[in-house]
Amino acid sequence: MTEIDSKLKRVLEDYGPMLFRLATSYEWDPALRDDLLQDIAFSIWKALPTFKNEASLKTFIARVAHNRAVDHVIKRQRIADRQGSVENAAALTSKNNRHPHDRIDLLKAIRRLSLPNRQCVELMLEGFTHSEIGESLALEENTVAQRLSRGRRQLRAILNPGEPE
Amino acid sequence: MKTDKETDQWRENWQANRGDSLDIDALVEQVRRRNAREKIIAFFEVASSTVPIGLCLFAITMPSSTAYESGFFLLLAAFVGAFVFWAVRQRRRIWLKPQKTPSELIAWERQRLEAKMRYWRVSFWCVFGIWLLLLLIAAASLMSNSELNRGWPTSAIANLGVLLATGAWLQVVKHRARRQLDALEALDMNAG
Repeated sequence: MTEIDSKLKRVLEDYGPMLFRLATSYEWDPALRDDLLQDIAFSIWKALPTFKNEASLKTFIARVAHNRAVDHVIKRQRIADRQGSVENAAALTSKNNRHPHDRIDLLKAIRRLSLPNRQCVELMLEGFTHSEIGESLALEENTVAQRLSRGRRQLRAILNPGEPE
Repeated sequence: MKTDKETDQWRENWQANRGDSLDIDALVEQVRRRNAREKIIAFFEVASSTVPIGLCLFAITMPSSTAYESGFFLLLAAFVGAFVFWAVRQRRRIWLKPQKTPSELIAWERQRLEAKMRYWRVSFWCVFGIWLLLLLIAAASLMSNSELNRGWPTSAIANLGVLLATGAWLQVVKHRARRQLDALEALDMNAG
């Protein structure tokens, strides 16, 4: 195993769950999701030698992964849950999940957000701060705040359709 | 503080998906294999251009080749070299794209599709040019009635097949790319 392979393995060990969630949010179909995950891993592998420690590794990985995922959406010209199915979504539940239905609803709701808002909301859910989101997506913090506010509002409206905002 | 509680709950639900099915070793192995595959493809790309250029240069050095033939093969070698250089450069431009926002990525994809159509349009006209040149040489050789030049009409006929196939493929590429461009319009509106 080369040095870059070992680096990639360490990155996947540390950020694998985050990358998995990201791939799942962009692609329902398990086979295509795995393809997307492989594309993301390959993009990270290619990008790792250019990482200069100027930013945090977490934001660097998030940036590469989001770019690749958006690229995937563009290539497939898929929008939100147009191609998604409840059967495939059900496959996402796992034994250790306490609220599987909540998670599917949340995932489905996130997929219905516009791409810019979706990217910000996903990173917020991953625990990124506003400045880390800005660093990952090359956005000003003000823009991040605006998109998060819009994204949260949209998400609330999708998850609780009857409730007033 | 309703929003914070709500966000925390969303975050908890979101992070509960730990990606249990993720096999890191298998993923690293897939990346290694894919890298090897891309290296092989790149090697064949270079080899596929080196072979015709080498054959052209070999044809020029043959004692039986006339000035016309030498000129034709020299032109062909230069053309193949320039075309491969342009194609590789186009591909590198696509691979080395910097970080982009969704709208910029969509614009980039639009450029890529337009470049793809241009690539096949240029290919078609280049094949047409070669075929026309072959046709002229074939006509000239038939008029001179030389024994040595009988291969030219055959080459012109064979290249007509290549020309027709390239033309048909160009139409397929144009049709697909236009459909994809229309779909990108819809995606661009969603990206906002």
